Amino acid sequence: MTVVQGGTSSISFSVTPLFTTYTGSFLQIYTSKYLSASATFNASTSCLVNAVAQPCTIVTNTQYTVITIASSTSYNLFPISTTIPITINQLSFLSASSHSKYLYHFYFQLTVSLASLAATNLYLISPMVVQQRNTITNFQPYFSNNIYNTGSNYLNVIRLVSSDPTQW
Amino acid sequence: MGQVFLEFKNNNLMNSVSINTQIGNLPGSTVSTFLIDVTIGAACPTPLSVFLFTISGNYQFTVSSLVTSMAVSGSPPQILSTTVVSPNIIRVTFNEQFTVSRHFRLTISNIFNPQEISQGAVSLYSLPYNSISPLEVSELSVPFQTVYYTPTLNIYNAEGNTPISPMLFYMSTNQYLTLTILLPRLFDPSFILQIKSDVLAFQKGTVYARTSTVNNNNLIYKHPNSQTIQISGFSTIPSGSLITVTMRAWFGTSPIFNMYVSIDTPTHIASNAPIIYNTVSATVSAIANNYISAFTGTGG
Repeated sequence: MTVVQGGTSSISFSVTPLFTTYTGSFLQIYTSKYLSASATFNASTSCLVNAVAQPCTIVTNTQYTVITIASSTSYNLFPISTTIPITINQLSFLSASSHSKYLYHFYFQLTVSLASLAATNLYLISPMVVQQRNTITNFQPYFSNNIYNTGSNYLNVIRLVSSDPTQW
Repeated sequence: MGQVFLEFKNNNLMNSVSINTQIGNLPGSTVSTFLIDVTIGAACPTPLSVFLFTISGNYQFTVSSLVTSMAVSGSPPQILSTTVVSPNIIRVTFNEQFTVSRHFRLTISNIFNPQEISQGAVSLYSLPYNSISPLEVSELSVPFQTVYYTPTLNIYNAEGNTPISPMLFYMSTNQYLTLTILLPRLFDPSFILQIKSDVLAFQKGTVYARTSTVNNNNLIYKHPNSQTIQISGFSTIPSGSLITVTMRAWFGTSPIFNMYVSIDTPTHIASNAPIIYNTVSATVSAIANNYISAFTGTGG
């Protein structure tokens, strides 16, 4: 998965429960503490369930981060056999994946109701998070063979020239 | 035809008993005191008596090895001289003509244990002064044995935490895990670190080791097979350092997995006799219920 390191990123996925769920069902995603809410995260608008904003929370402690999307006590956001697309915006990945420190496992836990001892359904996704390249602008090709060469094999050189020095 | 050094022609077996068998020594350490009880069975024909100790294997007497005597009955024999003839031989001359049933106790200090897992034995020869023919002999059975150091091992999840639901190890899943190794002794640059598992299949290119005290930027990772990792190229790592290894592995359907950590030279590891060794296990308690699809991440 591609995200912006240190910037604002989103994750998207679909939930298709093949088990019975009830009102109050809620989804939690446990993941690395190096994924957190960005400064622009809004608990009311940043999480889209079926393209509709739903309340959600992101809590980061010294060990991990928990994202929670909960149905209201009178509604079920995750009905059985229904594919629900979900997007969580305004996330912040501190760094791209490494093989040591920055490991982003996403542990999903869908609890079927608010009843005590309600069944929980687990799933794990362990993607490699890579840095999305910034786009460098104002580039133009520049063809040249002006490298001095006394022989017959003149080099063809392509230079990429930017008119915006802040991009270098 | 000459005599063979310490050729034993008699059938006299000295009634000597090892008191403190040294079977729990750490490789590379020194035995501070080795005690031995002696009862003379063959009288010495010369005014001075000689004991000659040999030690087998790679165990060694050192220049600091001293022999002292203590009384069991009567007075202790007076030691005239102690000579470390070689790392494996020490000679003691007593200012006494030993008689039958003379009973006393000797101590030998500073015996060096080899830097390996091994066994050794001490033999004691009683000789007349200026002779190479023993009057009697005692060969002790394996009084010396080295045992491996045991590092403290812990298994954590990918995030470096103790697994708690739902951050568990999942069956039939590829996932990272973290193994920490608290070194009980110095990690020599000639050593390699071997990690084996009975269940997990490690994935090449996903293993990364770091230490808490020194930088190791030139490590070499080898996978002799899917369940074994060997890491070399470490610099000297002080005792008490923490080595943290993260790796990605395939977790099968076994509800438990074991990790075996060996640290030593490649030769000792190949012979299954590392001087640093321990094992640790963890449970694989989560079963995934696949209700998530199309997982992606985007920037901006």
